[in-house]
Amino acid sequence: MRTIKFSFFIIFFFAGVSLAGGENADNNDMQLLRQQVKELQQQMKESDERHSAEIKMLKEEIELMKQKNVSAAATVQNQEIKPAEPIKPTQPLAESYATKPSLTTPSLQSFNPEISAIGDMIFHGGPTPKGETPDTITGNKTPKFQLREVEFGFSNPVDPYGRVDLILAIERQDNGEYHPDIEEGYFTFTNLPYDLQARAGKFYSAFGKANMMHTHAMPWVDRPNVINKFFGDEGLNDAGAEISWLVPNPWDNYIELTADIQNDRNSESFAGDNANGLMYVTHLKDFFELNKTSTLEVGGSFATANNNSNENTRTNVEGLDLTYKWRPSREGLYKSVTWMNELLFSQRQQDSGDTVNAHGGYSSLEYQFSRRWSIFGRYDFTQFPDDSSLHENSYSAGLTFRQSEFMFWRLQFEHTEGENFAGNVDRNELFLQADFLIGQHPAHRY
Amino acid sequence: MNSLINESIRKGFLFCMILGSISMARPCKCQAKDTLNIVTTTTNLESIAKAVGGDHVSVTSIGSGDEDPHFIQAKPSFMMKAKKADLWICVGMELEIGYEGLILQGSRNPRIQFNTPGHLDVSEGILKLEVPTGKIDRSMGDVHPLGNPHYWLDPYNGRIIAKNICSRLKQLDSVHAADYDRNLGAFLLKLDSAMFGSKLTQTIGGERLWQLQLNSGLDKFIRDYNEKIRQTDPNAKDQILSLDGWLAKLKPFEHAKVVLYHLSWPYFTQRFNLDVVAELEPKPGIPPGPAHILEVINTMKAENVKIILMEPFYNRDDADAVAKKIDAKVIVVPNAVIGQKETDDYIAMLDNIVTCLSSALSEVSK
Repeated sequence: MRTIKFSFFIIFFFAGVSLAGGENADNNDMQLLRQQVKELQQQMKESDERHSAEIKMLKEEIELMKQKNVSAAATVQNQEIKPAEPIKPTQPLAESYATKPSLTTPSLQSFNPEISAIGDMIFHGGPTPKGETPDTITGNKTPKFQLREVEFGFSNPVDPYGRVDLILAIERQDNGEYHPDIEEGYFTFTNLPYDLQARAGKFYSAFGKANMMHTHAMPWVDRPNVINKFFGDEGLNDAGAEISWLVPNPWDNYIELTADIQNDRNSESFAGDNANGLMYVTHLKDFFELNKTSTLEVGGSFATANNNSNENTRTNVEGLDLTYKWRPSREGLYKSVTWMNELLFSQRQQDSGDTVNAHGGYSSLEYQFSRRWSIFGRYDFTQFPDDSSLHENSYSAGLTFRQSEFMFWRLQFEHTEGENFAGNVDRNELFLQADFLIGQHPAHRY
Repeated sequence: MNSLINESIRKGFLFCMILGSISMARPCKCQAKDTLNIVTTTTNLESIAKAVGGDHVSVTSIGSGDEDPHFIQAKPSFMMKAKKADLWICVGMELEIGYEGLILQGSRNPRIQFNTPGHLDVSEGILKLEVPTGKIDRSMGDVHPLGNPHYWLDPYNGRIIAKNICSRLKQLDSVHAADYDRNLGAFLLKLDSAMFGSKLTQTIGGERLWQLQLNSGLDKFIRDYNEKIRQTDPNAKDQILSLDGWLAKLKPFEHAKVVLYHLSWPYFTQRFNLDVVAELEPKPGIPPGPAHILEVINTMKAENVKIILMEPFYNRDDADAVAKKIDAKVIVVPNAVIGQKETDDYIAMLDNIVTCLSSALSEVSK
């Protein structure tokens, strides 16, 4: 364990040093920039004056030429290539063109953050959904229709040094009540030197692929079972800080090394609500562009923290992920394939001194066969991180209809079998999902 | 056995992390720079930037030209391209809204972020169409609040793009300002010659021709000019001017009616006086349904429209079905530079559209 703590220390120490170095460089750069901007303004002003004088002269010349015999113009043979004339405002235009420069109009509105609202509604057929237990005291049953979540996103640059992204979710709890929750809320330092980027706030830990997906960005109705069992419904997500670095390499591949320090509050694999300690997560992502149409992403993740509040036993979780994507260039609106795989391994120290080794994973294939339709299938296998003698397998298949960029419908059938704390599992579920977005166009991560 | 596997996996991970830390200490390779590194979002911009920048720049485009420019994905490999860029050039007007921000942020390159000298939105000062004046919402489909972003299809806007690129290059690399001016002059001469014909362009000058064209005074000017030539010297036949180039090629088909697949052609049709009667998409970005297709068929019948114009990245089945019903022609032509002979630069790409359209129009008007 010491080795791990020590390597984290090294990573953050280096990061800290390079940050401090960057600050100085930034100040000098800023001064230099200011000076350059001043010079530029001066130059612009001069050239503006010169140009307007030239334009005036040209106009007068044209008038003169018009008055004279036009044939004189015929002798003006400018066959030689001359430097172009300066940019000048266009003359009166045809009426259909917009003459107002809407792009450059400054307005107070531009200080408003970009806002979006996303609704996620499901119809659930079958026994109790994953992760929910029927309320034995009140006898409440899970309703068929559920507005699972409404998510509000706000984002904008804060100042020249970074931007803020806030994602507030109002989620349906197991007891049927809705609770507001800050799903993510973080400041991103975008101006760090040495290809570094840092975040501070609450965010999804950089562990694998599925853990970082928001509900509406998932290609399935539910998160893969292994993520639920290892990290819970909400995934691995807490307040903390993150630094990531683009690793220079001779192939110029996108290789990103990310390190997170967050609260150790995940109750599935780690210490849970009463914990006081910290969780360390690292992720290495390597992205290959195989050719113009297909890409491969390979990643490795590692998370470690104490698994009880006494801080005497630990859990380590490792993850491997591999994603292949194919999308033809010309027919890209109509066809695509995504093949996503993850494997997770956990070693959980028990009070007794034993270690529970558990693993799980999923493989998901989605094929888009027309502009709006795609089909998908997913295989899940997972043991339980605190009892590896228990396991669940599930098989899902589904169909997605993308009504537009801003709304989709999804039908998913899922069969789960295995053995959990309640005994044997043999469950069939049917989901129908509707997901809609209003507000700012979301930019989708690749 | 199980625990052995787990243990070795854990060791492997530690090893990876340590490797990562070691490589962090490795000095980064810094290239000696003699050219300005430009990354553009589309191949059209790449082509114009190459023409204006000449030998002093190296240009790559993240788009390949044969895809829908609205839906380029923010691949990390694009971020790596952007990371090394000195200048990022985009079409703007929210065409790139789905990926530009992610790529710029992911590139971690402070030189090309929004509102820096290394970020150039070439839509500044262009002639815009379909800028909404009232309130818009998404019930209208993929409407762009800043106007229709396919403005590069008007050669006049092509000139403004080139000028915008030129002035930014001069700002970033003032040592070679004279070269950029010269390259711009050559590009404009080539473009204007393609538009008006080379004799007319060389005699009158491109700027003047465009001012006349924008004010619908070009035909009258040529008539008056030739009249005066004849009056002064009846034998000076070589001084008589006539319209040539793209304008002349499409002149016989003025106010010919066309149907579009997507609303990406208005800049072109307006410049060459073609009338757009309908679109196959019921609303921008919404694929056609049977009811709308029937409506389009009826409109085309009523207005006697024989041409459907579309880009290669849309599925042509619907257009073909309509064309078959009423004996019309489907013209599938790229509106972006693609690495093919007939579309290997911006001017060739426009030339290809003009050629395809004029030959199709002359065929259907027989």
